[in-house]
Amino acid sequence: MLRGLNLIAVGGLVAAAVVVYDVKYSATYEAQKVARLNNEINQEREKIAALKAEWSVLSSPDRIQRLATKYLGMKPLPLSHIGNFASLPERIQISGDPIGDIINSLDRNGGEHDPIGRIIEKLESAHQDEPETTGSIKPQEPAEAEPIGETELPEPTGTIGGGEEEQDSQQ
Amino acid sequence: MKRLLASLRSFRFTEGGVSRQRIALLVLAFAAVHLVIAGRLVLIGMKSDPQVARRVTNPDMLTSTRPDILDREGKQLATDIQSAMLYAEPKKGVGYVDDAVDQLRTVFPDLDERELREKLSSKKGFVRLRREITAEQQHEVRKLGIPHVGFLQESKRVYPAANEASHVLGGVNVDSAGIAGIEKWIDSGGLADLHLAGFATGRSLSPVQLALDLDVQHAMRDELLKAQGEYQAKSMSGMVLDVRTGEILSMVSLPDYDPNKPGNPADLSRLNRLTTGVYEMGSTFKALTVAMALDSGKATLASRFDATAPLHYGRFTITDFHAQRRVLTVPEVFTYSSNIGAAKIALAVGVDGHKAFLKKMGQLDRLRTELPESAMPLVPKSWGEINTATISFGHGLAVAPLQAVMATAALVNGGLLIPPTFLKRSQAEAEKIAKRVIKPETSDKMRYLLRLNVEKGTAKRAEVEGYYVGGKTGTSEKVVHGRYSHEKLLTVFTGVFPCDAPQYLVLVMIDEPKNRGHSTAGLNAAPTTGQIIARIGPLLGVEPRHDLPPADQLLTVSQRVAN
Repeated sequence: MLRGLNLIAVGGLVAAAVVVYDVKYSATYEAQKVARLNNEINQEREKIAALKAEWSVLSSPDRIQRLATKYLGMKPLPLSHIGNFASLPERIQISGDPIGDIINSLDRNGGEHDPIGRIIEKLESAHQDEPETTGSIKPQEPAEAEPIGETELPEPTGTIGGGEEEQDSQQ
Repeated sequence: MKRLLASLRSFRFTEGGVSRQRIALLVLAFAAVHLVIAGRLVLIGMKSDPQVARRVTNPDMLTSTRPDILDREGKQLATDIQSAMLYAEPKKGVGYVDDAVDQLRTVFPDLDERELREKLSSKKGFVRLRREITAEQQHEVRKLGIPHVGFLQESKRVYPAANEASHVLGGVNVDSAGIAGIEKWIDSGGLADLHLAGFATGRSLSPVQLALDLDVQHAMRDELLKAQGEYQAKSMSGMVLDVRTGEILSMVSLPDYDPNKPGNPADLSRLNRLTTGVYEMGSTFKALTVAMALDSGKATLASRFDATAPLHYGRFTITDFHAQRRVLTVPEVFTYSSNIGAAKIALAVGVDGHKAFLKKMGQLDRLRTELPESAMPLVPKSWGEINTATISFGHGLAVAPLQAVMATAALVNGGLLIPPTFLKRSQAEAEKIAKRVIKPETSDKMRYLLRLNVEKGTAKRAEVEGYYVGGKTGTSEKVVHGRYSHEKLLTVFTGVFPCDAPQYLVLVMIDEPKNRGHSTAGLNAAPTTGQIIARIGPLLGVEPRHDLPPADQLLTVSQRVAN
């Protein structure tokens, strides 16, 4: 009777010790894992911060302007190139008589007014010797280049502030 | 030994209650001891061990981080990055000091030999040897195997835009404490205490968002640098203010500095002329004078003031630069920038009224913003008629340019004085703290006068087609050795656009332009402002309009009739 009780007690003791040890070690393991993961998260955060800082340096307006001036033959967007939809001429209705329609539309816009021609004239008189590139095409010889834009209409996009790159390149 | 054996023998052969009781007692004693041990084990197992966690997290983290600073679009203006630092513990011994010095100098030839030896032979517990160690250098040092020399990770403040916003951001010292500008302001908000308590580690701090726009700031600085070269000026400064909210979108003061590099705080380039300098703002003050007279009802736009002859006050004579020698109406006084006319307008209001108005407009007190640097205006001690006469055209009262800008913004935004801020602010918040200083009708008239000045007056060169710019020029003579110098000038231009519903105010200040023939504000500060407006307008989303009415249309019919 006493022996049986002893055996049970000893067995219980050993079992309890084993369980406690197991719990303790698994807890330690988990704690280490948590700490390691936290550490990794911190390291990743630091890396992200370093990359962000690098990106900020690379995309700083000063640097972009320097590079744009050096490699892109662009010029600032003139304010006259910014327009709105209301200033667009009325769209020509296509019917059987295209020439008649054009004449009609010109009449509707005030007879002698020729909005497209007026814009072309303006461009010719204002920027005869400057390159007209406001895109990413670099004219091969800016001084001698054919004014590309003379035949292109400035696109009234109805938006403003979109010409950041052009703003940055100073010619 | 014999006794023990004897007792064992007696135990084995003795029968009866006594030995049974003894055995039970022993069992109980053992059981109690084991219970105590088991209980203790459970207790230890349940308690988390802080030592374990510390061993795994990087023990070399020495972070006292600062919040990121962002511009209004979220672009980074300042951030922290981690870098390694080399340290030694001479108290614990680093082996032979001479050997250690030689070995370290193979990796870092730039380390000063004597200083290094001193540091290593001292008995200090911790000495810092070098900052910003690269990964390769760390590897090299580890290979040397010098005892008690190690690395710590520490955070370093980085300003990606370098010089771009130096005066607004300020800077930090080697211990990451703010020493100037917004950085110092961040510390004053309790961050320094957090650092001391060890809470401000990691990246837990939410970023600080400024009102500044990095693109506008860059455009402003670029144009000012160009103009500085053109006019060979000693210094240039400029700022952009949103007149509806009081937000400062850009603030540039040239020369400036790179906050990434430690420098001498007393260096002249560290001076933010717009907040810490006080200047006599010259004729730009006439806008305040005229607004005061119109608002008080002492004058209307049709009132006439005699500017035929110079005004004499003892030895002092007030003359006109663009002298007309006739009777001028108020708009003429403004557009010809007549000193005599402005003085007479101010005298019509009276000394006390003038003083009270300037006080109301915040021109006589120190203006405090987030930047810790501020300057007290220089106000005359005894304020008589002559002071009112000269202050009416911006001489005899020196204020911080930011202060003058705040007042000018109130003249055009409908009459609300809004304290300027470097932090992002909504219009609703601005309206809450705004103070009405002049009537909305007076503000309408001021907009008309400012626009008229660009159309017909001294500010013609500030015109930007499509942006309806209005503005006032100011040229003041600097005080050199106690008297006004005719060579050393300060030219100022305050431009507002678009004048029918003002959104932004641009201030350009040129200190000592040397280029001959370009000495007055209308010839240098005004065209520079025009170029800046043409460049920042599209960035700020202001739509250029090409069908704008002449200035007269700014006044309502009733106002025109009344005048």
